[in-house]
Amino acid sequence: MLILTRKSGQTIVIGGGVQIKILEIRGKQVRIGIDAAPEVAVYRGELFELMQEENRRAAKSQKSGLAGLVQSMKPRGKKTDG
Amino acid sequence: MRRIRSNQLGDIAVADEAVIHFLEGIPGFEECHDFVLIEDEEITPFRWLQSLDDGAIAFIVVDPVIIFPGYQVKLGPAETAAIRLTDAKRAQVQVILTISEDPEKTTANLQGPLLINAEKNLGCQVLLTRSLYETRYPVMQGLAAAGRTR
Repeated sequence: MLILTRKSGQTIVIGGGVQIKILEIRGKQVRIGIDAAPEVAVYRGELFELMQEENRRAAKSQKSGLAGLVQSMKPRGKKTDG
Repeated sequence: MRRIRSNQLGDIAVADEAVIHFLEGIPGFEECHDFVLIEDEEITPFRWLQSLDDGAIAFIVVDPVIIFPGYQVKLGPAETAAIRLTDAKRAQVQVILTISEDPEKTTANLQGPLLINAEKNLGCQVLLTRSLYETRYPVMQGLAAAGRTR
């Protein structure tokens, strides 16, 4: 991990396309501005980690577990030909 | 033609046109860039999203309106840019299920929908930051509320 120390008003440029600016430091909180192209996703770390965790849980899914759910569903209407 | 030995589905061959490319992978599986949607009549209306990079990685997905009739994703510039979508209405949406042996405990991740641009074969997982949708939405309850259970 690259570690930098910044003061309020200073910036960090990542990859030439992403800019991070320290806007304000107030007590225990830092306000950070992020400038990036629209297609670059920016998320709070804890939300991203939540998604990672849920995706990992989901990847362990077994089809056998779905049988009960599928059986409880109403049958779909039969399609007619033509 | 892409081939993969899927742990869940066995040997499968996939036409290149069916491959959906996730530029950033998905959170937790950042190395998995190529996926394919596979129908399986045993689990219809649910489908497989099989990784073509790792045969062990496959998700069960569903069109969210089946389990949550009013489900809507507001697509802003970030979302449409990620999958190079020019018409927001043409995005296909799927959500990933976490299956439990107890059907009542099977959940769907409504907070992190998958957006697919079928025309360009691009996909991404979007993390909804401003919605009240749940990461673990109980599917059984959703189906019952939608009138889809016996």
